[in-house]
Amino acid sequence: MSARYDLYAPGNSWLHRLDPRVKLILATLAALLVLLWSSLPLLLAALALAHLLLMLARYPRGLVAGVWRALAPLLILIVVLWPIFDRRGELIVLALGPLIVTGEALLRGLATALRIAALSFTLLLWLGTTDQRSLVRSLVRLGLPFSLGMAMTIGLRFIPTFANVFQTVSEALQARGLDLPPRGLRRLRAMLPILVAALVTALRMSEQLGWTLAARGVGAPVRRTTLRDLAMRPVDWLALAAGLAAGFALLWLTLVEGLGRALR
Amino acid sequence: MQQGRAAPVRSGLSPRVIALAGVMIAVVFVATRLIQVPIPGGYVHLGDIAIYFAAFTFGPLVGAIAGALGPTLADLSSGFANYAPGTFVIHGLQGLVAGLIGWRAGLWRMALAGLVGGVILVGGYFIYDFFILRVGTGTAIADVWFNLGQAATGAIIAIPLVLAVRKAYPPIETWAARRAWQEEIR
Repeated sequence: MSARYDLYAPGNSWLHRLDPRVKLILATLAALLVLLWSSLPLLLAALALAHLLLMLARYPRGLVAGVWRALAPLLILIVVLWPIFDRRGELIVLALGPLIVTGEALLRGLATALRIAALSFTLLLWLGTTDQRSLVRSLVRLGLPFSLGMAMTIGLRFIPTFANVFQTVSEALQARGLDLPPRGLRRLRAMLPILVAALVTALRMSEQLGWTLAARGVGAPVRRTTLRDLAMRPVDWLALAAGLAAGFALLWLTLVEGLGRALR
Repeated sequence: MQQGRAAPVRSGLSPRVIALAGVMIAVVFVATRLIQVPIPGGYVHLGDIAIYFAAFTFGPLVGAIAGALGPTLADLSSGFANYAPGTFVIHGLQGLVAGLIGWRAGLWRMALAGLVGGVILVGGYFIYDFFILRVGTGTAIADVWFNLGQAATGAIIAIPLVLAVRKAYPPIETWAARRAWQEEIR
């Protein structure tokens, strides 16, 4: 059960060094713009820009390819199914009985797939260059309650632990004769003993963790201090101001002037 | 080393609930991302089973936190960041409602909670697909089939799982209960 648990790739590029709050705010604004757009050239440009920025940040090509592989089934589904339900356009490309596929519908399906891909890669600029601790710290500084941030950190820390527990229990029970059918509801039902044992182990861990947290004063009614805090540098403020100015200008053009709302 | 900062305490979650929510986030993440079972026409993951387990065993608060954050982290770490906001709201609501109806309940109330949770899951993703992501009618309908399978297997497997864990490890029945120390009156 070897798998990556996040998309972060360590590095020292300008994008890695940028304050995680700035990256989150700008990525959210960019994602909102991409969501509003339907224009094929504009979405293509957004996707190309996201890839260019990832390349400049020396983000590994293997991880970019991995995201494309994960998205591929959804993108193919959109491109294939969209023209079947959309009859807009005069140029008929294919007519098979009740199935009529128009050129415009094909382009709209392609634009929608590009929008989903552009959205994912825009957010990858934030996720791929921000380590998990900074990510949670930035969310807490932006208003997420500390206890939820702590729960999230514990969750991220325990992912490999619980994955190992599940695998160990699964192998141990199969070594003792548990028969796992290859697929279907029968496999799910056969997995019940594994799930029970793995969950009880995980819950015992959480009980010990709760005692540890209580012993260290978590939940005590005092003002908390932090060892490593986030601090905005002048370059972060500059990036935030420039990004927000560009983002809001594009948002105004999109909402008022109709930029990117048409297909072409 | 950077200078420390004093921050006010903003939430009253007890250390026990923080630890429980954290571990359940990891359980939901692993069940969503790493444990997938092939079925005819595709596969199902065990994420919904884990959310129902958290909600039925530890209540609406832990159900909502684990439901919102576990699958959202799974989306963010697998390239499906476009689904993360929808997942956060839909699965969070699923865990909250399932916990409100089925916490420490018997078979029928858990079944009802599974049904309501399923409606939230299937309806929520259809609305998100169709109106927010605008992926088109065909893809939104295809997603309904996938989510129907998820919702059904989630409820069908989670209920026996909860009953089995209650039997195997009785102390969990009282875990998420608020505890107050009282002086013994003599």
